[in-house]
Amino acid sequence: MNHDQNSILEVRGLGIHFGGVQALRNVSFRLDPGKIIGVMGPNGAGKTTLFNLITGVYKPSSGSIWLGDQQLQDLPPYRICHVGIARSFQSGRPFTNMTALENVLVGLHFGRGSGVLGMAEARIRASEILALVGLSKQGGRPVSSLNLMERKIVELARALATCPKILLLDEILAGLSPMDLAPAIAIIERIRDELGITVVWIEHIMKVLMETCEHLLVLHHGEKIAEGTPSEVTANEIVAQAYFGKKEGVQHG
Amino acid sequence: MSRKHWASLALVVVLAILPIGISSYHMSLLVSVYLAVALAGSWNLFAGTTGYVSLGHGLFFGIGAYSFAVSLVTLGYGPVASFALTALCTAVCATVLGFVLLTTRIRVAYFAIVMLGFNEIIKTVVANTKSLGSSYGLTLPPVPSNLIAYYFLLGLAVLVVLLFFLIQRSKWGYGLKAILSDEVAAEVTGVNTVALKMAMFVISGTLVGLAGGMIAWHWSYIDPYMAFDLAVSFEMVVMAVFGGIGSLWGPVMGAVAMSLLKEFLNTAVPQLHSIIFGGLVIILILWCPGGIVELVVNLRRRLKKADATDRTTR
Repeated sequence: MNHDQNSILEVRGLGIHFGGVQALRNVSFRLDPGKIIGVMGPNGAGKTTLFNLITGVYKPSSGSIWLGDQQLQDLPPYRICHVGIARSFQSGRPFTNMTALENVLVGLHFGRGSGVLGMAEARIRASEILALVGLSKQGGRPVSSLNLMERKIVELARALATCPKILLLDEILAGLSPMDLAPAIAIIERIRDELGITVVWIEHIMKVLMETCEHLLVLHHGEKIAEGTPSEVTANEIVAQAYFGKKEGVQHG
Repeated sequence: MSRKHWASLALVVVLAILPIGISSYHMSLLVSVYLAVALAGSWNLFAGTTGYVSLGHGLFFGIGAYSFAVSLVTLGYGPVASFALTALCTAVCATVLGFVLLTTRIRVAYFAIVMLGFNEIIKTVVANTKSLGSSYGLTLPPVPSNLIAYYFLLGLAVLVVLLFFLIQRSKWGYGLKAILSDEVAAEVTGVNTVALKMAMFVISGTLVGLAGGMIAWHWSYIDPYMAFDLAVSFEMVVMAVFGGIGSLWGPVMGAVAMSLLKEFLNTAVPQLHSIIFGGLVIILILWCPGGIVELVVNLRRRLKKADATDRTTR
């Protein structure tokens, strides 16, 4: 997969406050395309807030967000989707009044590059996407009848259907049984390798992030305290202090 | 076309040739049934697809009624041009109101009440506007033939059902289902939720406006208290919910059942009809929150089950 300048996500001096609470302060980074980038940090560090800002669900109080040479911070969420950024939600928010296939169809009909596919073609494409994430058999089933793992993967498939350049995953492994972890991770790696999509991934399971990600961002109290390869981040003293020194964050896994 | 489609088409054809052999009483009864179907169906086109319950949708009925009356009487246009102007007027009003109410992320409950408030505001404004006849209202020339109301409202009712059917199966249908489920998730999946809600609001409002225009002509007199009667707003909601909100046939069944029931109780027990009617609605809603549609589906399932056990025991 070759990447152009237009699939580089860059955040400059990003900040947001809710009333007096500064949820995110002066965060900047630039993400190389085609990689899996982990976002870590204790609870309340501002990870999900960061995703809400990038996808336009919240408007930043300061700073800017760029995809290539396009500024995103003033666009509504659906336009940011059309530019090429898709996401999943922390607690899992698939459309529960539809089947798995219909969830994917919403992404195809309204995402980036929508309008190209006819109704019949879209159904075929939707089945292909479900096959890619290993949900071929569940396509016709209502989401309300699926288990947690399947629901999370449906949400992932819906995001993929919008043809993103950047995919933001918010704790997609949370709540899954240990048995389901490996297949889910394999799907995420396949998204990077076969589709060439940049994955930005919030997760609490450190071991997984360390093993899967090429690059890590560490947030703490709304600020970026470290960035680099997994080995660089583990060697970082500020990170060690944030995680272990004051016993603030609780880790799982 | 499936058997269901043919059956629907046959029903429309039968209704279309029915006026040849029925009394004027039955014809006016059918006119009120078609009006009910058109109103409940139009309401469902917006509320049933987006989840935004409008408690003041009768506002568009009143705006339509006055637009038509003003166009026909004050401006002196013909009926066809007047209906065109009525559609335009209600569409513009719905667009303006939609901008005010739907471009911000207003909570569903607030939306319902604000709609009701707008109905009351416009009612008061009209009642105090001399050129609109203030509270005395406007008199319209009578409709040349009762058949006009019959066919206009039958056509409108069919159009409303057909539109719901087509939209449900289109790209828009997926977007609306997404909005109904989770607006934020719909938005980040690329759905322009504001535009889609606006479109449905304008379509729905315009259809209600056309019904209002026809009824103004049919009654050949309107005043603010009839045109903007809150009962119009509430009946739309009750009929749609009674039948099954968000479904294709629910509002149709609800409207037919309720307008016939109302007529029957009105003649059978004139003093008590409102009480009995209200009681029946409460019982049905409590017993079967999904409305008549759910009742039918459940009955069918039970019948099938009984049939299956019947066969196995035999």
